[in-house]
Amino acid sequence: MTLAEAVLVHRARPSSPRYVAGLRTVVSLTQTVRPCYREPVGFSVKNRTEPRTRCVLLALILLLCLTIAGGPACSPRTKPPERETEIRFCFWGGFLELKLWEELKALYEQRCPGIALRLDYSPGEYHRKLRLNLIAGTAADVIMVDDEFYPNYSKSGNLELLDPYIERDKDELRLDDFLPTSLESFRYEGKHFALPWDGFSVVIFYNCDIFDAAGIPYPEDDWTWDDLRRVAIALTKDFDNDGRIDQFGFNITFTWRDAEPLIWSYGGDILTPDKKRFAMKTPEAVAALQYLHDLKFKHHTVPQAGELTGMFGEIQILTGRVAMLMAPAYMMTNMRGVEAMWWDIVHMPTGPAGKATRLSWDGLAIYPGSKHKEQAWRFIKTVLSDEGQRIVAKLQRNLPVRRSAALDAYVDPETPQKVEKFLEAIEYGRLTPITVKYAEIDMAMQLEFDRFSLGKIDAATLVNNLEPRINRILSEESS
Amino acid sequence: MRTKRSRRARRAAFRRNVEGYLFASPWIVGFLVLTLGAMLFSLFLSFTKWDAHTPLDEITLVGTANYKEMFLEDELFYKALYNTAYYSFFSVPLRVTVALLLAVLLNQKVRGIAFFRTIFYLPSIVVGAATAVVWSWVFNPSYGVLNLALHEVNVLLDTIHLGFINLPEPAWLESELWSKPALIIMSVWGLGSSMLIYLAGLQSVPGHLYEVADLDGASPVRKFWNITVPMITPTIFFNLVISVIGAFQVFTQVYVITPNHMGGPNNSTLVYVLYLYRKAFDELRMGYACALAWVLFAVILVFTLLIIRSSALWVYYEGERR
Amino acid sequence: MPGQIRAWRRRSVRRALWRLAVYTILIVLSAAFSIPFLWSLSASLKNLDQVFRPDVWIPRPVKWSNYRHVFDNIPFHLFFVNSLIVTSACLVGQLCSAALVAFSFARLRWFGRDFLFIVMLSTMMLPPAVTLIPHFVLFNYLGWIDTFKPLIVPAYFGGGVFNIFLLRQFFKTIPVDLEDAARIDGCSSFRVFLQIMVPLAKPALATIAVLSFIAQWNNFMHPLIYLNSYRKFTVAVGISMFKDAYSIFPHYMMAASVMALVPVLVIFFVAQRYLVRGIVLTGMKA
Repeated sequence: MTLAEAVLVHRARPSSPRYVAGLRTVVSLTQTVRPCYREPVGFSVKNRTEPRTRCVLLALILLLCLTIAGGPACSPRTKPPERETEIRFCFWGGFLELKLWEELKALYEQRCPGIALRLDYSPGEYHRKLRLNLIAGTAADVIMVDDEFYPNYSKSGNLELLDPYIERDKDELRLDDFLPTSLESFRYEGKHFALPWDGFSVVIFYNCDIFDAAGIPYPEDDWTWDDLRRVAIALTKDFDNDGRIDQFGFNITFTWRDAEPLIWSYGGDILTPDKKRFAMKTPEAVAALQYLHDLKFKHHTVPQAGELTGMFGEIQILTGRVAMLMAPAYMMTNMRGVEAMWWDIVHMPTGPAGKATRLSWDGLAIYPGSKHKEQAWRFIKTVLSDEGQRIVAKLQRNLPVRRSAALDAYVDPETPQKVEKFLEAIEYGRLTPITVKYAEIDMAMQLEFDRFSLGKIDAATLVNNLEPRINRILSEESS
Repeated sequence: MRTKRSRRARRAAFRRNVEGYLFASPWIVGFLVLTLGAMLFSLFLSFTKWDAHTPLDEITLVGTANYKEMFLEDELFYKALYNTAYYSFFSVPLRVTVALLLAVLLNQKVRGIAFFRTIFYLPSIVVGAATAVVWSWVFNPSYGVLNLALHEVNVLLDTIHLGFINLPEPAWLESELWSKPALIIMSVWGLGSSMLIYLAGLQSVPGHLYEVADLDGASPVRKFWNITVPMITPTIFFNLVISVIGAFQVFTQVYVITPNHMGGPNNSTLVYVLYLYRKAFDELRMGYACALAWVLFAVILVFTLLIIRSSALWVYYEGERR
Repeated sequence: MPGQIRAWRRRSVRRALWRLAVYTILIVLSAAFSIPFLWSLSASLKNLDQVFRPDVWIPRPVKWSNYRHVFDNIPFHLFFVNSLIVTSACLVGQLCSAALVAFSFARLRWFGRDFLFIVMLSTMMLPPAVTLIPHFVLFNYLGWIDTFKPLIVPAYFGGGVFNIFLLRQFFKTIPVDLEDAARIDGCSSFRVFLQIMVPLAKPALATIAVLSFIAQWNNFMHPLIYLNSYRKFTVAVGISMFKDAYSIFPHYMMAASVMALVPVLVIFFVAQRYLVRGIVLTGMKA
């Protein structure tokens, strides 16, 4: 391609009538030797860029200068006045939790003037960010921890030992007011590295309208798993006879966490009490798991893979696809937001060994590298104070860890649903056995439970497969 | 005389080199400061055992134990590799070719083409968190758009007495067999960026070549094959390399769409980087995760070098010195 | 004469048929491609109990208030401004530095060029998850945590290997003769770059502008990791505030993400100006 053609190709539009004329002009112009391109044929930046483009460019450059000159966002947080100390608190959650912590922050700053609290909010990837900060040595003064990874953080010394503080302020804390199992879930090797601040229990939600339509009485609190099976079968319906079930009696995810209440209420256990060996290979546990398996594959009351994809728990109940659902207490918030259906809660069914449910708590800890441990401790105490716990209870997401606050502020007589059952469920609730190897155990369990959930293996095979794996993980030298 | 010329030549060469480095300096500086150190650090980590909790000075060196475990004992490693290879094998050719066809389609001089281009580009710009919600609805086995369409086609086939052809209506993301095809479909929907790059490449094909071809009476298909495709081979090369690198490292789409960030039904959507992420941040085995990363690096490097080597045969740079 | 008229009629019939074919394919395919977006739009106007009713396309009632509630629940306007600042600053940096570096790899001859090109490509081959820790430690050491600097400054140093690679491919398609002519006339490399390469690579630059804008706009991980104060969050992080470990508010999330699409679409439209020199395959002049 000659220079002339190249110039034309890139300058003139292919279908422009200037095509031939332009060719002649450019050929003649470029024959002569020109000095450096001071005013070449339209090649200068000024000629080639239209005014609009230049304005856009200018605007962009200005914007850039503005940014670099530094809006307030380009410098780290504006330093508080020198007489104030500042502590940071990192937490996870959605926008509702953010509002909660803004309130608690206001309470704290009101009680402890001269201290500013900065909220380091992380809407996702909380653990990743926390670990990065721990490695870099810049973790917040108060750290929110969940019970699942608590042993890992405690073991590697990332959390401050809280026993001396607890001992000193025993009377203020009134630990006997804490709901059962809450303190236990944050005890590692007998020591406290965090204190619980809220938690939840798991109960059964049900859709009253479905029960009414089928003429079945609502479940009673003292019902059994057989009752549940009977009711679930009665409520599983295919309304339009197209071979697809439109309404399921019961839904539960086939994970080991969800199977725990069943196994416990049958008298079985996940791990031995010293958390050193796998304990599910007992007839009781196998019976519990087989019950689950039958519910899904023999009686078809539990939806199979893909039948209810993408529907979160509350939607399943609210849209009437599922009559009963085993779900944690925090599902209530979303369900309250909808006025459509009538729903209620009932206690877990009684099994051969009684009632059981799963409890989980979240805690607050202090960073050992913090320079303001006393102020951080005061923040924890504020959250655990009566007033703080009442604020937590008002949000009606999770249960506050203080029984008094739960009774006063969480149980609202105005709501038609029997919210106090969440509180009562704590009495027969148990904690998941969590060890330092939680993540590996979870993954190994999931592998087998996935196959169990797809119906590829039955309960006996499931525990047989799991036993060697879990025992191996538990007996391995911890890293 | 000879020394003078060679000195001048050497000076010119030196100036050329300086010029080259000067222009490339933004990247070189960034590379030395940011990237090189980080890469070497992760290589070092792959020979250690570290849970990202203990302080950095207490890392234990374990030599090649991570690599040995990966190749000899880890069944999920091979599963992840297989999943990723399966995904790449289908998604890369689809992405490279379908995007080209779409770009050609969208390069037509019809009115409102800008509107259509925007529509095709839309699926690839939905923010990550919302993607999961949208796609889990599309792939919903009972009411999702995809299965509804398949159902309708089945009904149609029944009515015209072709009922023996029964299109499957799979459980997509919850079925072991169909979850990877679901991911591949998602990747086709997200080829907006490839399409855009092809569009840009198509702009630089000289128009007069088409006019000459018209004078010779070439059909549109001939023009496509003999003019368009050869002239945009640099763009095809780019898209091929980028697609390969991207497909082997696919992560975000799979991460947001599998519940609990597990691997899907029977780990059928456990792609390599997801497995790496799990090892690093769920199981707290940073050393092992770095070893995984470097094995992936080696695999991608081999493929890319193959493509680059072969590019001398099929890529035509208009601007090359002859 | 009649023969010519007949030929002309044949051509216009062919032209019309071609247009019809193109429009049909376009409409069918865009219907398929726009389904995810249409569903997001409809979900953003639904009530919570209808949000996951996949069989409900048109929400009843239509809740326009969802858009207002987004602003009630999160400081979305703040996030928007933050995103605009970060993304624009990155855009300028990436365009400038990627163009410079790409020119060097495409046109200049220097020792080690091809080797460094492979090295550059190979930096894309390591999953970013493993380089996160060293980067975080470095930025912490510099005191850049909780500022926009870790998000903006790397864009000025190379501007992303993807962009460099793309521009290199484009620069290589520009005929050498132009550059030769300019150099004969005594132009320095920089003038060649500024006055020949950059104007001729406008489609590529427009593409990079769009892609990089979108990548930065939707970037979730880096703002999340490097920013602590929630008032500095960007839109991508803000949208995930509607989802937490306990529940998800799809209708607010969709409303926020629809609003977040607006600047992206604006940029896309503006960039179309540089991508309109369509090649008409059938050679018919408009």
